[in-house]
Amino acid sequence: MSAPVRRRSASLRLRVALAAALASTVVVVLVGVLASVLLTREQTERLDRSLVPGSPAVLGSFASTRADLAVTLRGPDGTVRRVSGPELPLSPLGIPTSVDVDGVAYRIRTAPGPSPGALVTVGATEDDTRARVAERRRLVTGLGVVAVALAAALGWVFAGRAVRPLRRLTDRAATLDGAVEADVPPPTVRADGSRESEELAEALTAMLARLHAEQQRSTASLHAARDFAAAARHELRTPLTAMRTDLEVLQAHPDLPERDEVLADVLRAQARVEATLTALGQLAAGDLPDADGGDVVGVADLLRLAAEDARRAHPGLEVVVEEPAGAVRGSLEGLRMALANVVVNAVRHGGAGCVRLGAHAGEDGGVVLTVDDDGRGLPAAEREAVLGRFVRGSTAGAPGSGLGLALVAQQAARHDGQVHLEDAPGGGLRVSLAIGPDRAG
Amino acid sequence: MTEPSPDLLVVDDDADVRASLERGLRLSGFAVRSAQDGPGALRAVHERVPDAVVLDLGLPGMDGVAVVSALRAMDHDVPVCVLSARDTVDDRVVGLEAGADDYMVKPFALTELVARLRALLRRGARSAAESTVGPALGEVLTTGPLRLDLARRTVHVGERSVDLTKREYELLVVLARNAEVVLTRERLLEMVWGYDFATDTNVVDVFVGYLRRKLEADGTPRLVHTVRGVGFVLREGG
Repeated sequence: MSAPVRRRSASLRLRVALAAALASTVVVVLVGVLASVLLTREQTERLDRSLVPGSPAVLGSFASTRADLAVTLRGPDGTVRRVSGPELPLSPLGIPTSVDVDGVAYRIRTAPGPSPGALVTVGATEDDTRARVAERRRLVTGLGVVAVALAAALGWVFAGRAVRPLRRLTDRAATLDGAVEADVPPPTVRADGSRESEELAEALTAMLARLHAEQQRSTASLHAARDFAAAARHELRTPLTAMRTDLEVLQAHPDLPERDEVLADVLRAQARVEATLTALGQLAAGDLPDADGGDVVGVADLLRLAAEDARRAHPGLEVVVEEPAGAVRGSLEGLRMALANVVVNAVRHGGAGCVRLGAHAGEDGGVVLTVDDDGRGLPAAEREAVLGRFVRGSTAGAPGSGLGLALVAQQAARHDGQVHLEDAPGGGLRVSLAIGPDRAG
Repeated sequence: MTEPSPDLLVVDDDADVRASLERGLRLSGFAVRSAQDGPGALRAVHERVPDAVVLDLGLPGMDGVAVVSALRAMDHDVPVCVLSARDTVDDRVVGLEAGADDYMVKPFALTELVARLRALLRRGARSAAESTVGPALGEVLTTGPLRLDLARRTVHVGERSVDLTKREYELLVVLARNAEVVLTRERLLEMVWGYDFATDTNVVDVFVGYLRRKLEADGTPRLVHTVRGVGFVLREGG
């Protein structure tokens, strides 16, 4: 499967250069337009100032010195006299006005003339002014273009420096091994030089660490599952071996005097297989994580249920149950199953005739469920080991799967707690199932 | 004529398996003693050397391999059949490497175990009888760099002395006596183990593997060749 080919976006550097060019263009255009407007106005005002009416004589001599000047006199009677240049039209008194005379643009101004009632109109062609303005505009435009180009170029150069940490980060990330090795600590990605690149590097490092942790978790659980499956197969083969041998004996010796004894052995081996399968199922279910953290379980209710279970499963057993206050958050069925396993353990392997179910507050603020029995107890050296899967104590009686206390330990772990084995106050064994303080409630 | 029942020692840490095997083997005509751990097994051997040992590999503390090693180190060459509850090949073969003669994976058929034990016992008795006569002095089998001195029971590849377990040595002798002749697995089982009945085992392949490893340890070219679909042959070169 190949990734779809995606068109690459423009590089950050090019984008910065373009942004610089665009920004400078806006500035240049604004400045240019403003300059052009101001320039035009200034030039026009200057022209307007030159259109100062004076005496016709003065005007005539003045006009004769400048070819672009035109002067027209109008008498009170409406006579028109051209002093110089073409005849200019009338314009409102005192206000400079642009007009077109025979295809030539003039700026004219009309003022009262030398004699009463007479009007004098002075005009000057705007060609020179416009040419000057146009020339300045070209200059401004040229400077603007240069400025924009310079901005783009500088943007390119400085952006190159600015994206260097990012470039380094990209190079580092590219050299990271795609496969995260479980036994190698995840690499730390560094890209100093800008806050963004540093943040990105930190995020990348954190992501690698998360990946690594996840990988380690799944590798560990895979190993655990594999070991567990091997141990389970091994565990089932032992009773099956006994069973097969017994069945072959029955087959080969139909009139065996010890027939009943052999049959009893077959049934016992069968019970072992069944017990192991049940415990394996419970272990597998207990390995599933609690999504919701469990229900609130009253400790007294839990102990009462466990006592009922114990009396039902072991009719000859004396069960004493305390009525402690308090509640825990967790799985009622899980805890009940754990307590049932402790009781089975006490009866089957400890030879207990009486169990006492109780609970008290733990030192860490949690709740400790206790099951005391009056059985044989367990050598202190084995008390840790028997919590492991498929481990039996040296005093254990058959049948036993070696999973009973492992199930209890699993439930304790599921409730953020642990199992502790010690001597019971009245002899025998005390199994304490501590539930973590976070679960008390 | 009634022969005395062969004396068997069954070693297994599981009481149910021990009881079943004891009963099954007793009913099959063996005199059975049992032990539940390694030291117990060695004590029982010390009391009276059995004719054969059925030994569970997965004993707590001193495991089956250690028991086999100890037995061989004490020069007891009783046939040992190991029982394994694991099905990975490595575990199957460790007991054999230490000097056991055969292995069976739990759960197994009692009749199969009985047949193999009887064959191993017969075979053991015969080779004991043979060894009293002994091979002609100076009888030496050679194939390429391989030299077997049957009188001294020594094996050399070139100048290098090769240390073989009893069963490895017997397999090599059979192959060397029949050098250039392809022997089937069935034939080898019969000649080396005395299994003259159909049996489902890859013990020949396992022992051929051991032989190769020991003979080829210093880079000597292969001597024991596999003839695909047929069996094995000892010859120099391909």
